[in-house]
Amino acid sequence: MAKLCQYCGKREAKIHFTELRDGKKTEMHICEQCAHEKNMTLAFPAVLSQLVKGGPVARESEAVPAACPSCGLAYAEFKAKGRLGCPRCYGTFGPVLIPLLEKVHGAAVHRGKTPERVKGALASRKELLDIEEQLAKAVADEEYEKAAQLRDRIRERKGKEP
Amino acid sequence: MTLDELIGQSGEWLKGSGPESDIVISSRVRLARNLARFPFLTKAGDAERAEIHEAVRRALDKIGLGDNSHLYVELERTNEMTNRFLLERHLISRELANGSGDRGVLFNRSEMLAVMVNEEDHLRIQAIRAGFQLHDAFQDLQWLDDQLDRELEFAFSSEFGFLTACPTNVGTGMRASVMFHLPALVFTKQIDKVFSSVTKINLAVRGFYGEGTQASGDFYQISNQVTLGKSEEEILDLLDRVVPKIVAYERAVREHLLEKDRLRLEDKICRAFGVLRSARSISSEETMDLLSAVRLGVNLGLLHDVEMSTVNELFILTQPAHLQRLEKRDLTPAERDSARADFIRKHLHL
Repeated sequence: MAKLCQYCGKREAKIHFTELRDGKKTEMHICEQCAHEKNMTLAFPAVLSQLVKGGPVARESEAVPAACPSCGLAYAEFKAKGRLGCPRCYGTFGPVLIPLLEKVHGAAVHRGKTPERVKGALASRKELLDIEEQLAKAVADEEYEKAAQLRDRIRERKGKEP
Repeated sequence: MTLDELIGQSGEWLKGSGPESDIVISSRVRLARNLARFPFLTKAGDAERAEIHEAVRRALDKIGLGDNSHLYVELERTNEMTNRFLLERHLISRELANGSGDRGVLFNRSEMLAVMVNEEDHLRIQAIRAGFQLHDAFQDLQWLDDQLDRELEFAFSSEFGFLTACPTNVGTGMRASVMFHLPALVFTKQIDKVFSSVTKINLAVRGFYGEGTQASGDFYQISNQVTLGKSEEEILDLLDRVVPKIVAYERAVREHLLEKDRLRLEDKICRAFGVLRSARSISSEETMDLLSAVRLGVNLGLLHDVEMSTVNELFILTQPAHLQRLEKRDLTPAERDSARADFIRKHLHL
């Protein structure tokens, strides 16, 4: 059964993303066009939480948190001074920030440098997902020896991670 | 290295020549960064400010600026005059000079690399180069940016990039700017044409000392406005395309003036030189004006008795805080104007 894109609600979702965090499973289904427009590469985790929280990007009129739970910056304060209070504000006030960023920069997604440290973390997360995929496939193909090896590799990696 | 060692001369970037340096004075790139584990300065309390300051200082001490000689100035501990001095040398911004609380600046001897701590963001890293060398200035920052991130962990999200207090800086956090000397365009009243075409493509035009300053000495800084949605290279490329056009325009007008209006031009230049060499009292505003004409004169080969590097340095060394530091005491405006005239006469009689 074809799923519709959660973002536009019109096209068939061709990309399916599942996130497991703190024992909770979040699923996202998106069509290729919206994925392209939203510039999704390895930006999945950030964009995901953005979309899942507010559905399609909220317009200014939609409900916005009164204050940032992390630093306490009130939305009213932000509107008055134009400055955010902490890194988490970007997540908190996402729905109103995005139209603002579009207005100021003509874009709302970063296309520049990624710090080396982050590149490393993203790369190893992706590798882990790849191995897990290979494991699933090996089990499905009944290649149990191969599956065991992959499982050991995964255990090793997870053991290394903090 | 101490501040006093800097008094008699200006930064390397002002002395050096660099490409197109008859018209492009300098190229500057600055990156805005914040530590992930602290709130932005908008919401940081005094204790947190102190912690941020301490953490950044420790990281800077450890990493250094790639050479053995650098100096950290804690602005809360220095006086007004020192802050002005640093501002005049383009090492700090007006916002840092006028700010409060734990904050400071680290810079190296050549003054081509500087890091402001606790200005609008936790860190503002800047590189300046003489002439048109934007890409080199950008490269100068990369190593430092990476090392600092490794030590401190910058606030970064894959979606929004480097996170900054003001959304106008988010993403690359990069402001790339080029400082021009455009006396011919000003003289022929065509400078507004440059402004309007430049602002149409989302570049900002500012005066000698950046944001909120008036144009003086016929200097103009042009910088990018957009920091998000484009890569650093794309932003630099935009300036790469615009800068040569402005340079060509200024050069063409200079040539035209030499051909069609030489007498009026030479007269203005030589009178300027004459006043500078003989005045007994002179204000900064007048100095900037006259030095601008002299600089043009040297560029066009109409003045032979003075070096370009001397003229460039005089723009900085005749500023109020510099004079006072030289005299080692506070001066009244009248005393300053007289000291300025003496200083200029001394330097133009070599």
